[in-house]
Amino acid sequence: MPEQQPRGEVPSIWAFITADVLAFALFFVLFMAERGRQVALFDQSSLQLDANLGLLNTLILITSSWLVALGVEAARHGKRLALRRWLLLAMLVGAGFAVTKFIEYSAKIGHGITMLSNDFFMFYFALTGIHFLHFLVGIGVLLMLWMQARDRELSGTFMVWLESGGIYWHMVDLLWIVLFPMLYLLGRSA
Amino acid sequence: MNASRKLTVIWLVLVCATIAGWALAENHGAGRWTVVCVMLFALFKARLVFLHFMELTVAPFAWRLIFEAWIAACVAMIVAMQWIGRG
Repeated sequence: MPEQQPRGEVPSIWAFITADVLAFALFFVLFMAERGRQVALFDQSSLQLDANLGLLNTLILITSSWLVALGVEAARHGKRLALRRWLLLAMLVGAGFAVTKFIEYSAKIGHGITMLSNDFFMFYFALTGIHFLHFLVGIGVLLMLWMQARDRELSGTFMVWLESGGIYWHMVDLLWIVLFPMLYLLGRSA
Repeated sequence: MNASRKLTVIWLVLVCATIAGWALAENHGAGRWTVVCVMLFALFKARLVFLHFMELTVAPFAWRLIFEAWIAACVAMIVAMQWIGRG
């Protein structure tokens, strides 16, 4: 066929990722619908979030995503040391997301703000919490890939695992790219 | 440009777009159009991530179409519902 062919087998991770992003799209609709009913409350509450930490977390995920992409590229050229170095760096940078989230959640709870405070914070904790679970799975996947990359052949099954793990990690980044403006910036911009 | 260098350029663009979107929101930089601009930055960034990091440019077109439609729908929905909400 003349059309551009995919690079090898299409990882079955795509079906999972698609279901996941569609579920998040539904969460976004529910959030915006509730916001429509309580605009003032949602905007006031959004202003209580630390947009600087939100920004930092976006930069962390984008950077970690880039490092994984560099790792996949290194693996395609058989560069095992470079692959392992990029994966390790991606995990180290990515871990910063957990630190920032911990600081953020602690500050909120320290100010008496919880899931039960109002509908905005119910969404805030639920959406960022579900996203954080995805993040934790992603870190686990990167760790597994990093360990496997020590002695696995950089071809066949391992490359499918690596590309699939990379795609999953980029999805964690992708979801945050929508969550950050919706939760943190809308109240500031509207 | 080799693949790694291209990835690095994309990362730099993503960093710049992230900071620009945040600064715009913090300073209400585009007046009543600020939300639209901030969400367009998000759309631009999301496309860079799924096209170049997730490599949807080399995957079957149907997968790319799903993600293009997903981000367009999410951004349009957020902008439209925000617009309606301000009465």
